[in-house]
Amino acid sequence: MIERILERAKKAADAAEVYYAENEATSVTFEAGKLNRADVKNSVRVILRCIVDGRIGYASATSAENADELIENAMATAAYGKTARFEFSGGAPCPDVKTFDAHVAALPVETMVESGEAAVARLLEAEPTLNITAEIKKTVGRRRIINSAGMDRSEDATGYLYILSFTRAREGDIFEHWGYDASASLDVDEEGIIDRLLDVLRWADVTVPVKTGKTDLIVYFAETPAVLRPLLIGLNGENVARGSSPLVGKLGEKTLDERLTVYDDPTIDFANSSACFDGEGTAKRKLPLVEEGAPRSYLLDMSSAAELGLEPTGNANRGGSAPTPGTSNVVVSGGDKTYDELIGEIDDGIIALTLTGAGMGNVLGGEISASIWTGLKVENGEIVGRAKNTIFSGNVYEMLKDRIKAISSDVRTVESYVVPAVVIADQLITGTE
Amino acid sequence: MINKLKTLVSRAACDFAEARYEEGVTTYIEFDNTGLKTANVHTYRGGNVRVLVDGNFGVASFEDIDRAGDYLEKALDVARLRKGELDGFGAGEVNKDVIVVELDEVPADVPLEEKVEILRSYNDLMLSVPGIENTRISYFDRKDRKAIVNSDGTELDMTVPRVGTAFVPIAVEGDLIQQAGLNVGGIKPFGIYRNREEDIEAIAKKTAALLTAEPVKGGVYTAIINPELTGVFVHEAFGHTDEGDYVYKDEHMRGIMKLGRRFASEIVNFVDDGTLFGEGGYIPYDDEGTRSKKNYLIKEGILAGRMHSRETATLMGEPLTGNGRALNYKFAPIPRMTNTFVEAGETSFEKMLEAAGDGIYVRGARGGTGGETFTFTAEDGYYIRGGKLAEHVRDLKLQGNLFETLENIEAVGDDLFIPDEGVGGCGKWGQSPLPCSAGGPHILIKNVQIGGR
Repeated sequence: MIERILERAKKAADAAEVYYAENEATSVTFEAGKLNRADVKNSVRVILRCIVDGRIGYASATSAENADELIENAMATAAYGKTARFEFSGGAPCPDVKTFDAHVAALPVETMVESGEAAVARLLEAEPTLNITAEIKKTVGRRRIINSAGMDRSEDATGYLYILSFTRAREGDIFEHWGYDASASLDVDEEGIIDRLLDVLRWADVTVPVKTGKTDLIVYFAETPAVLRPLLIGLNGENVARGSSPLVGKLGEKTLDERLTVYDDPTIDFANSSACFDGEGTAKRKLPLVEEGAPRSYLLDMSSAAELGLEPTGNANRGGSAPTPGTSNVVVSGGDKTYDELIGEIDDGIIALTLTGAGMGNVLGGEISASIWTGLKVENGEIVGRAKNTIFSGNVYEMLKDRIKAISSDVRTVESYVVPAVVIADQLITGTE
Repeated sequence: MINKLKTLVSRAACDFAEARYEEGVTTYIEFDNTGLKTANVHTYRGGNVRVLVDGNFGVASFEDIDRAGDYLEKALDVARLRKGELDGFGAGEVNKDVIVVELDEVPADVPLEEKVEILRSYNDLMLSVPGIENTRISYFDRKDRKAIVNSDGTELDMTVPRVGTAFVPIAVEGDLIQQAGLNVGGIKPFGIYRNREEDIEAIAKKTAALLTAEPVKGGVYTAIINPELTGVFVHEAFGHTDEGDYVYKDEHMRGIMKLGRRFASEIVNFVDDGTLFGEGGYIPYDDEGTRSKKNYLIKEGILAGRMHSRETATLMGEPLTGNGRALNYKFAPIPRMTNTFVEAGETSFEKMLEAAGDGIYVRGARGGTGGETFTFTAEDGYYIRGGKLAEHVRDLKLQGNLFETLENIEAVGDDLFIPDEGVGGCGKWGQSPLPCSAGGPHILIKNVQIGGR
């Protein structure tokens, strides 16, 4: 069906590309500790990109059936579209990456329900009044990309998502906390997620007051991505090409702490965001983003690469119709001491287990400004209780340059990130006193 | 389409069945400082079936109406996995109606060329303001037609056009980057985009002025928040806490959110009103076929109601409110807000400044997250000294405890304003962005925690 769209589009336009993605997601949702609904979603997306008189046009649809409508819409938008500085290509060979796990495809819904029930049972055993919400989802999909330069690539992929959260409501105190992971295989440590929720429940039993002042901020594994995000947005080729990134012209310059090394790695078998080719068909590869504190490469799709006079890095994501540069799996190197050792050495600090609102400030400028949704207070190497209602602000280009106190040697996989915990020194935290 | 859906529903052997179908076209246009970035026309068609078997829901969505029967079977299969806690589905409204929302100039019918040119002129205007180095304009318009049929006899066919735009100028000076935004949109004619030069220039100048504002000093302040931020407070902090699915789940929460409980002084009135025609959250009926309503959430300081889907209304034995909304055919309806606002009070802005004495005036919202502890990022603010506006400040983050903050509302302004809905909206359970509007007058709150450097 999509060949027909390409054939006809080639006649109307100078060059064309058709991207096709189809998937079926099955999810079970638990509310108040009970199965509330099960859901099957079939999604189809067809995106046509045309180049007409040097300009780019787009059209998309939820079916490949109406080729004429797609072509007509793409031709209409091309009349006002951005100038194409690139040409479609047949593409270099792709790496061999495992993205499809037959166990996920064959997983019965019944097993997903049982997995949710087991999680609820373990949590309720520890604290019977908890209100537990869970979502377990599997996805089986296929994507394909063909273009007028002869490219024809397809890939099957699976996904497994596990989210567990609880609310503990007491008079004047509603405490919500969550844990999650995602993978292309069933390799999600469900017991580990439950163990950690139970640890937090225990630690957070008492609330301790927090005075406004400078202290150590321990960014827990699951929130290291929030601290990295402004940096990744700065490395985004689109922001670099339009001159709005603070990292313009900074490749190779030591702009960050030399203990910081970050890779974008789509080649890890079965990792959540692994793939053989990106949203434009460009072959994926492991890409150094920051090595020993120096930015090494930008995240580039064809368009931003052409504007910067560089080669695409295989980082085109296809969330909407137009490709846009983004990360796949972000891997950060660990430090010298384990997370537990680091906590043991903290005299006074706050562990940020979960953050909210971190992406709302001037992210492009490096600003991070977040509420510590679940915070734990550390005194003399021990967790003494929950730190409620605290906020912090900072600029990651300064925090990750001058104020990294330590990076944990252990790293954890959280969805599309493989990251250590990071201790930031002298962080102003606004408390309630 | 109604007939196809009726056949589907009649075939489902279960306690309750609902079938929806939706089709439409969305045009997206994006500009940045280099000019038009992308324009895309997206055509969509798809359906959803929801069935209730022994108190448990099975849901399936599909893009191909010819396969609706297969997906009905899948929905029935997964519904049978366990027994659920719903004992029947309560009494739903049975509504039969055909709605076609008419506008003077339906945005989706305006030629692409005209849309592109008008946006281009505003993009150029923003870039002409000194200090503005970058811009982002995100525009969409949509003509959506949806049909809803259920086994109680509801048959609805609704065509609603919609438009939304965010104008975002970005000011840069060295390493410093600041941005602000103006939203324009709702269930409104394309005419709302004409002759807006003054507003667009004003937002660009406001953004450029942020470069010279000083970063705020963190601490606890007496604060006046502006209508936009009042909207974020009533939506994010209070609204989500007052949605049926948040409340029904456990005993403690039901105790905390007990109707009739006093949460604020009698000057405080919160409303969710899906009937407000033109606003982003306007809906003639919700996605379960319940007619939209004006619901008081807090009346004279006392908890007066909450927002329900049919499921949560049934579980809690409370009346339907018309808040069962789905982002689109891919999702089942859940309790969601529509247009949520604080009703106007009696205090003028001048009086409020006097009452604040020394404090802070906080404007605009870049975003917010809610719950008992809420966090909002504001656009800018001014210190208030001796009842007068003083230095311009930026990088403001507000945080507070919902219940304490409600008690701390000292004055409600007489200047109710509901800002336009832009391209964003509300996100919940992966259903984002659902168009919702939120607003209110200026309000004065004591003991507001503000984060700074």
